[in-house]
Amino acid sequence: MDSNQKRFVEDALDLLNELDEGLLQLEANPQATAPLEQVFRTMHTIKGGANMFGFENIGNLAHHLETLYDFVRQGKMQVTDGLISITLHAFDKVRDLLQEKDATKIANAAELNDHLKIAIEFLKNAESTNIAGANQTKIGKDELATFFLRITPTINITQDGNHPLVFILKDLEALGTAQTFCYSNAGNEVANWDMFLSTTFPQTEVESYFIFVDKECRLEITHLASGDLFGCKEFVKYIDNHRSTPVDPTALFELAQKSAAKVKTDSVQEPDDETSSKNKKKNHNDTYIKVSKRKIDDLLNWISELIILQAQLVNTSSGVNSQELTEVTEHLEMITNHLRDTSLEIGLVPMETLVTKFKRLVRDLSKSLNKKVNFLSEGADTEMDKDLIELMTEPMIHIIRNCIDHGIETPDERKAKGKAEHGTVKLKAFNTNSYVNIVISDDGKGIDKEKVLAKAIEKGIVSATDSLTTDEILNLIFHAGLSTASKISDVSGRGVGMDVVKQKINDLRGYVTVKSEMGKGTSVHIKLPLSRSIIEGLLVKVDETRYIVPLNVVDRIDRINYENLCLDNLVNKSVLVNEELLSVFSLRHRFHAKTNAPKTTDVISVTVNGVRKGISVDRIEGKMQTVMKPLGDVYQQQDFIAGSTILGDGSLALVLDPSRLFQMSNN
Amino acid sequence: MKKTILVVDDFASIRDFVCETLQRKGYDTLGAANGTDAYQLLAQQPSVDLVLTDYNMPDCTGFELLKKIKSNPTVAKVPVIFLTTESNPEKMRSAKDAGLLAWIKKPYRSETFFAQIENALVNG
Amino acid sequence: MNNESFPYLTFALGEEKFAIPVEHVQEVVEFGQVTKVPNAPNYMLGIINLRGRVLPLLDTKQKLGLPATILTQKSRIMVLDIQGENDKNIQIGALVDVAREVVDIAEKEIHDAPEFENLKTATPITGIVNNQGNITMIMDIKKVFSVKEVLEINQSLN
Repeated sequence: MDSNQKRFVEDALDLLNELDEGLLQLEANPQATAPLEQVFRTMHTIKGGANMFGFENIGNLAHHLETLYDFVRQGKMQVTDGLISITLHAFDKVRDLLQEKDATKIANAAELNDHLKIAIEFLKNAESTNIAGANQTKIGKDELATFFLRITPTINITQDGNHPLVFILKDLEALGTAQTFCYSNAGNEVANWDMFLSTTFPQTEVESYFIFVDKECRLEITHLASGDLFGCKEFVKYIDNHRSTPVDPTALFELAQKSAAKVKTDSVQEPDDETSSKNKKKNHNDTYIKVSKRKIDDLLNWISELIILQAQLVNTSSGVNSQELTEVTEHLEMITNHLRDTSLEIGLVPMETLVTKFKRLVRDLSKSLNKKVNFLSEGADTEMDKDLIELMTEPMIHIIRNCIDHGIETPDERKAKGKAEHGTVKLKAFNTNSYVNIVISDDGKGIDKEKVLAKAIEKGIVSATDSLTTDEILNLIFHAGLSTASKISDVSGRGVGMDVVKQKINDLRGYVTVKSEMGKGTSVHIKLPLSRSIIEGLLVKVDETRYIVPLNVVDRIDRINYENLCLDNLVNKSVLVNEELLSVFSLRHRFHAKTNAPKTTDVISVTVNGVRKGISVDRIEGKMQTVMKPLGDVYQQQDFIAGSTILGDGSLALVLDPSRLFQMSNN
Repeated sequence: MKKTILVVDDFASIRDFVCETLQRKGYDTLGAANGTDAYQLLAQQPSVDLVLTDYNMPDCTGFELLKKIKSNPTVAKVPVIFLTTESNPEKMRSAKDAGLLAWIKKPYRSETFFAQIENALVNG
Repeated sequence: MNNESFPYLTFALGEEKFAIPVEHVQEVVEFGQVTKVPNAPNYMLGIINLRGRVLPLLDTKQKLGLPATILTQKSRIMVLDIQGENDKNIQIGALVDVAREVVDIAEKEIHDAPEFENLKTATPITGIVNNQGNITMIMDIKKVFSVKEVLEINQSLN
């Protein structure tokens, strides 16, 4: 595949996402014009690109589907479930095809033929029955025309007043090219407005802007001519001459007819940006350029190295007594900090693409399970590492599947319970510290604690005598082998359990917990580190080794005597720390038992996966922000160490993974 | 005294955004995710000065909500405005006949938005 | 049998001499600081900082089942390129007692190695050079330091 084709594939995948979004909106609002336009435009763009870059089969399919939607625009056809479905399926196939690396394979794919056939049939049906839609207004929808409007207020309004009428006129101007003149009377009130407007919107829609102000004004509207009269010099001059005195409508009309003959009807004027559908990409007043990911990764690597080196410089120069050197090093530190912050942001993209995927998923799933489900999202503009988004897609899809399959009840069940027939699945994303939080919740029937506990006891995961908090019981669902579904539906699949979801999230150094209330619903909380290489932590020492405890799980620090941790011959294996019983993991006892312990130990209380535990070290040396390097393949087994980091003096510190550390003590 | 506006939309993000926008302008807001909840809220809280609702919502559309409100003498006086992507002139006329005060099309310009809201609260 | 000769890096473990193809060797450095990673097999000495790179350090002697290396002034670390998981190449440090010079060894000088029974890794010695009683053993570092094997041994020990 050449680079142009690669570019097209990338663009096409983005466009397909937008297309999905538009189709889903159109499905929810079959009469809405904005999503219809967007769908049409997107298909048109895909068609053009596909044909240009050698994927004629895709172009052909897009062409036929585009024609269908053109019929809708013309009012010859209605948007139906069937239409949306065949479109979604057809472009799903296109999306699958585009994952293929070999261009010739894509171009020669026969899989699209079925979809093409279906599209052609649909087209034939539409042409033969020619359902004249209830919307005659849609005929000639995208034909450019110029109108003359004279608006005469029947109440007292001033030009700069706050009456909605003033703003309605401004909204109208935004529909195309417009020139508005305001004529005031002696008392500075508006006598009338004259507006010359060229737009692709039909007259009925222009008129509809005045439906709700018919008591406050009179409207005279004339269709002057087809095409954009603003392209005709005589017309523009004529209008200009009437800034202070209103035009004579008859004369205007005659002039317009003459001018129209001269003005070539241009190709369809693209609807103004402001009237596009609401999910147009956010305009941050930024220009975007495409950069290869490899270049970005290289850049980030060099920045990481620079940060390490800068720390070493600070260390080395601290021994040298030079004012100038100190100033330069401090300045360098400031710049490196900025570099680090910028580099953290570069790889981050908003989660929006995920949201559209999930919308599709919820729609398809709820249809196949005969449930009514709404999908809401909040914080789709929250940014996440691009790789992270891709890696998290599957786990989140699985969680959402669970919500719909096991959580949300059927419409009848919900009605019987007094709930709205439509269940809701909500995705909420937000940032805290250097973490990204994702909460997926549903208002379904919740998790049956008793059932989970019973099953866990049955499988020997916990014993009947263990006392567990509600949270601990709920989090048992992440245990392998614990599935309370009475039947394994095809939808949730076999072998893809919540334990796999948790594992994947843990692999990404993230945390996941679940909360639930019987009858009300369930929510799954995911926490992922924003950057996988830069971490903030407590630098600690045990014997001669230094470790780093990630700061975001740390609750508090206490100092107790080391002898309090000698619990080998006791039944109660927890320690009284800050008047609370805490289960403490002693790094010294586990890893450095051979040397003599100092008198006291610093105990760091952390909360991991909803549970509070303690980590005991010889001494806490300070807080630091540092670049973490992975240990490498050789140390895969030692996963309780997340990586290592180079300290200012060149020595290495081991970064702990508390969650995995505590798993060790269970062995 | 601050005016209270009831915002109805099944998309939480939009609902929250509209409420925030209104709050910043000095209005008090209430939110409802569907027509049924909105109507209940309204019946219990007669101090609502304006209802701002989406058109296309599951279960109970904005239009149905409008009719419910206007057929209940206790709350019929509360002005109702639609805030929607819908732009079908026929629907607009039917809504007007049913008592709708104004129709704000999405995407909207803030000037228009606030002018319509102000107008509704003053002239009802 | 051809007359080609290839360069080998020679080194010593105790009294015995070994050689590995130079193409696997990135560099040889002196022993500095090592940070032990807990809960790992004894032959995994820990991690070292090589000019900003973090590498795992393995004790070659222990990996072969011999008694642990005793550090001296002459101890050296050979930085080796070996195949990691998914056929990616990774770097590791291998600790040896003495690092010697690079010599050219001709194919025809290499004779088949006899069976070694007491080594923990299967036949890491692929040949023997006998220079008038001076024995140099050609080592297959892929076999000694293969990551797959390291992991397998790890798993069996844990």
